[in-house]
Amino acid sequence: MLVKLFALILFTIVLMLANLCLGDIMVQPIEALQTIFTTPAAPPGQLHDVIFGIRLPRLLTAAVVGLALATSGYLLQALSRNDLADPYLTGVSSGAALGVAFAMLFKFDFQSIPIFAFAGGITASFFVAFLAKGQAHYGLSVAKLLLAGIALSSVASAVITMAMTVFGTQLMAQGLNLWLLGGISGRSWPELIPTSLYVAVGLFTALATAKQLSLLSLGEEAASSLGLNVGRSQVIILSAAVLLASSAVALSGMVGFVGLVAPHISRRLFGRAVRLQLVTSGLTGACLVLFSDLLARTLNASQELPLGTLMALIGGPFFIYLLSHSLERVNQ
Amino acid sequence: MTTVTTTLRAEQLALSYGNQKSKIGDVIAEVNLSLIAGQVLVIQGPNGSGKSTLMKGLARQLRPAAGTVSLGEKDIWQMNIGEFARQVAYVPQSVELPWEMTVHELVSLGRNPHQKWWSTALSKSEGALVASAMSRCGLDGMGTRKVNELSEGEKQRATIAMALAQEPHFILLDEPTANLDFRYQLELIAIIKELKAQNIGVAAILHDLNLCARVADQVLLVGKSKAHANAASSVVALGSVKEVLQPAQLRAVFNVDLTILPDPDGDCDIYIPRSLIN
Repeated sequence: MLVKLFALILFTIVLMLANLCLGDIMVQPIEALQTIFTTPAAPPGQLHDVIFGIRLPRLLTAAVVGLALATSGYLLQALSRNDLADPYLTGVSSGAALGVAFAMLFKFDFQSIPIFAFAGGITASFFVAFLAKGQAHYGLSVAKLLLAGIALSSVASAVITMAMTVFGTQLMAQGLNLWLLGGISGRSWPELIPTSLYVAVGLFTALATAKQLSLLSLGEEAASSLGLNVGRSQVIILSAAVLLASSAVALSGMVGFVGLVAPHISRRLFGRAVRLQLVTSGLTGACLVLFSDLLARTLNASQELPLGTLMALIGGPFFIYLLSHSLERVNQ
Repeated sequence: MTTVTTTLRAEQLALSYGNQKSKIGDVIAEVNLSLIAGQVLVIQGPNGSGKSTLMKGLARQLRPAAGTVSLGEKDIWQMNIGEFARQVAYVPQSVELPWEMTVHELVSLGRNPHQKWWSTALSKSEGALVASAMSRCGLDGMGTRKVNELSEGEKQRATIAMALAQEPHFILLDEPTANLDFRYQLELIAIIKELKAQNIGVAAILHDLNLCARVADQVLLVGKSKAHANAASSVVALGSVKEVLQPAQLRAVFNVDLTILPDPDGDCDIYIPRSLIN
């Protein structure tokens, strides 16, 4: 298992290096690393600008977004005990997007965008959790969770469109639409650094709740009979998941399916042990987004593809496959 | 094990699933019982008579609609959840056993109420405790097995071992023999007797009258009155096996005729359900 974990870390590093070197301007890996780890000459050259101004912040953004979305997806799946949960499908991302749109519309400082995203995401998550809870005392209904997520997403996107049409300028609407498609081009240090701090808080919380997740996996009744304050643990874990997902939304817009696909791949590779999954899901997500962004930048040289579109192209069919697969299992 | 004899006691307990506003009727009402250390209480009653609900009420899973449940001098809802879990363990009807968890990991989770919230590390004495809990439930040498690969009987024993690792004074078992074949059922009876010998108070829901007769110090028979089918269940009888498991009483509660024979090789009577009464 340690060897596999090491291989995953190595793979992440290789992907990062590839993102650093490949593109319109090809850079030798050695040269790229030299540029990063040595102090620049008095007037920084073009290479320095490409690496520090564009490639490095972008690849770090990709890694942070992947890490955050995948860990968030894993937490939501563990919490709802349902492998089909994901921040995008459960409407958490849409709620966060609504928060971001609100912040943009009223021209709040861009540093405050993650806070608005979190507010939107947490509202959406409580709303969906409340709907999916239904009559049963324990657990969430799978169908209700997904349907509530879809309904919430539609309403959120309608509200965004309406608000933009009524209150916003055309330029603003175009900018927001582009952002909603999901992408990380043009992201740089000022957005990346504060958001990474929120992601770090979310990841730390997630890792700290490993035991609570193990207890909850026995079912809420058994968990509470073992002395766990179930409600409080669920709120903490859900908040961590929402913080991670909404940070990612604030950074990259609506990039779907990472939170669904990455934990699945990671489960296939590493099994279901909670502590390990908390680490490997995130790393797998980072790899997934790094790889997708590399494709988005290099597949079509004349104009790059939106990352969200590419992820949907990969993740959508995967979701359909999972859906039919899990239905088969239920029917058997 | 401490020498203090605590009592788990229900007084005028009524339970319902509705909240205060949507007042649906109580599932079970007016229950008085007390369970002391080293005693086995078996709850008997037809399906839908609120046995599991009563268990949830005793296990601090469901707040009383009326009345109280107390442990020693304290109302259980005045205790925090950890304090309660250090004294009372509850094994629900279905514990979801996650993939990839080993038997040892599962049983170790029983130490949770004694640990700091972040810690999963077992001290030396805790390690020994977990090992002894496994051994008492016949799980020696199975620590590294994955729980989802266990047989039904082994799963049941693993969850009871987890409850034992809590070092409780009381263990509440909701239908522990469901899904078990008769060999495992007998094993379970042996485990309950073992718990009793350890001075642990046990409350269990057992459907099988013959198992019940073998192990119970007290039997609590719950049921609904025929005249009011929608009314709450209540206690029909509480007492020793001989006092409660009488043909007339069982007939009235279950609507079944039964024959009771003396056991030629033992000291428990044998109960044979014969025919339905309408």
